[in-house]
Amino acid sequence: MLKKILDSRASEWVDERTHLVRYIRFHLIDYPTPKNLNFWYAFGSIALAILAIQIVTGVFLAMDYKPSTMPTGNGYSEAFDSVQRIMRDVGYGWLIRYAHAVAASFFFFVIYLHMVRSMYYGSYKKPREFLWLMGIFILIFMQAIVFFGYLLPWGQTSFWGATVITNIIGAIPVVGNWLLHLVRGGFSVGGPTLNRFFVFHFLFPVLLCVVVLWHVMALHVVHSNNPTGVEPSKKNTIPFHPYYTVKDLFGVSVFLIIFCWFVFYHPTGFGLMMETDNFNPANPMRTPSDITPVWYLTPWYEILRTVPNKLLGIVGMVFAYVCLFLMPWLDRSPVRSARYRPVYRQVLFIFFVAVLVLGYCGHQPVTPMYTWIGRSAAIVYFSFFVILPFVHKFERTKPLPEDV
Amino acid sequence: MEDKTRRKFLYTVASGMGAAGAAVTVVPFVRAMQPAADTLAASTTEFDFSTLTPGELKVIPWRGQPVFVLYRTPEMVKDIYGHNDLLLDPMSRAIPEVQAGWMKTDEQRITRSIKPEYLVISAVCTHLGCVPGFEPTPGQKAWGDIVPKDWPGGFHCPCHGSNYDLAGRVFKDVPAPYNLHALPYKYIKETTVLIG
Repeated sequence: MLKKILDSRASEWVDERTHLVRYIRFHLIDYPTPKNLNFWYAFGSIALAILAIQIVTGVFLAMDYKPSTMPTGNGYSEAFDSVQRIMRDVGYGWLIRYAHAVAASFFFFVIYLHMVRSMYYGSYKKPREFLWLMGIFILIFMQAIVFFGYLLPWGQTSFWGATVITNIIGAIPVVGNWLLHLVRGGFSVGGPTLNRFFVFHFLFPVLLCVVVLWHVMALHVVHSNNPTGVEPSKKNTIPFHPYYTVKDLFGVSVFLIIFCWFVFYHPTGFGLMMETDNFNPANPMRTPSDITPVWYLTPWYEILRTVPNKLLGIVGMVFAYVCLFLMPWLDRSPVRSARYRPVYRQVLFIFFVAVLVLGYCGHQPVTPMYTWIGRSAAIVYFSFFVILPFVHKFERTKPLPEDV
Repeated sequence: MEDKTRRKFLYTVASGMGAAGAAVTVVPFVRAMQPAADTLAASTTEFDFSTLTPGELKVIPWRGQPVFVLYRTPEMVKDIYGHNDLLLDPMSRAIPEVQAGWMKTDEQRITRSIKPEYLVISAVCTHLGCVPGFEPTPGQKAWGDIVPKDWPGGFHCPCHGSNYDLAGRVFKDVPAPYNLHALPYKYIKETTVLIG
């Protein structure tokens, strides 16, 4: 069927004028893929599916959402009330909003697994450095997008989360305050901030799509890595269609089952995906006693929080991202996959544990014990990048296979 | 041989002017993102301390931002003088924002008020802008280990654990770098202040 359509005279007519059909052949059909990709390689296409879900649900939410802090008769705001209207009055509004909120959490979950895969199998190494850089860029982009989106319901955690995070800008020496007021459009988070964050929450995903498209096209230049980290010979590669189109669709189906279970049975994700405090309308005069970001931002937030100095805390958080960017150049071992790198495998495992501990502590109230644990985990996080350039010196790698 | 100097000059000038023109178009867009005139318009807020009972705190809005107004009991005022060594900036001199035109005597710098019993101070934590909680009784008994053992009573920020005393002066070894900002205000009646 597909073959028939692509070989038709109509396709030929289009291809002569736009090259569309040869793009489809190159990227989705003939694209050579190693035959040994395991389930860790499913998360890229699952992430694409989530991006599609977010764009569709987001567009429909925007039809009924009002980015206005104007007080309403019941003492709330137009923004808060319009979200309640979506939940109660708009047909299936509750489903669309829950899907949007749950998919946001899943997006990060899937992207983090996608990164774990890349770190474990050495997919950030030559010639895929640029692919890795774009990936980290996509992560930062996503974090900006959820940050803008999180303000929109204009609840307590919306307001105070935006207040705390925008204040980070104010710590930049000399231009900090000027920039802070530029971003907020006022001295504090208020009506102008909400209005522009709504625009950014719409604009940035469009830009994200461009970067994601570029990420995929760059992948198709350097080709997929595989669990062995060895370049496959021609006889060990298989065309993308039908082998990986079908396998990726299977991965997306498994994801959709879990996703739907959350959307229909636990839409707030046990308070992790939608925070209880955010069902209270924003009150600029009172900070909730327990304010922490949503789970997917907590590791970086914890690094910021454990440093007992405002500017240094922010420098630490920025540096945590810089380290990720530098990864392809910090790791100097010629062997890619952790399967054949016993030492790297262990330090990487400790690094993953440190990120999980940071994430857990970042979700707890500030007490001396959590500060102490968080600080230790932050030290482990940075130590990983410090020892990474030296691992290959004392590591005896296992013999690599000839082919995949 | 052909002389290319004139062409090079024209090329440099033309592209330079073009780049400068493109750069200048950024100005209206940046200005549009800055606080608008209605946001900038200064406003004032009045507050009458006789509406508070001794020891009571209220958070009131001024220019859309929260302000602490606290009626300090004589014990609270006495308490302020006891722990200068625990503070980062006990005399409020670090930056202009922690000082105000009315701060003339050392006593006013320490109590951070015109009349020691009535405190008017910004309620925005100087770390990342949360409103600190009011935890006035000394010691850990009422607050647990989120405050230090020698807690003299004061404000504790729930977001990142910064501590301030009952004059809004910041303690050492917390994330916040400065005392709570002092505000411009004056007495227009015996117990009524005009902020702004």
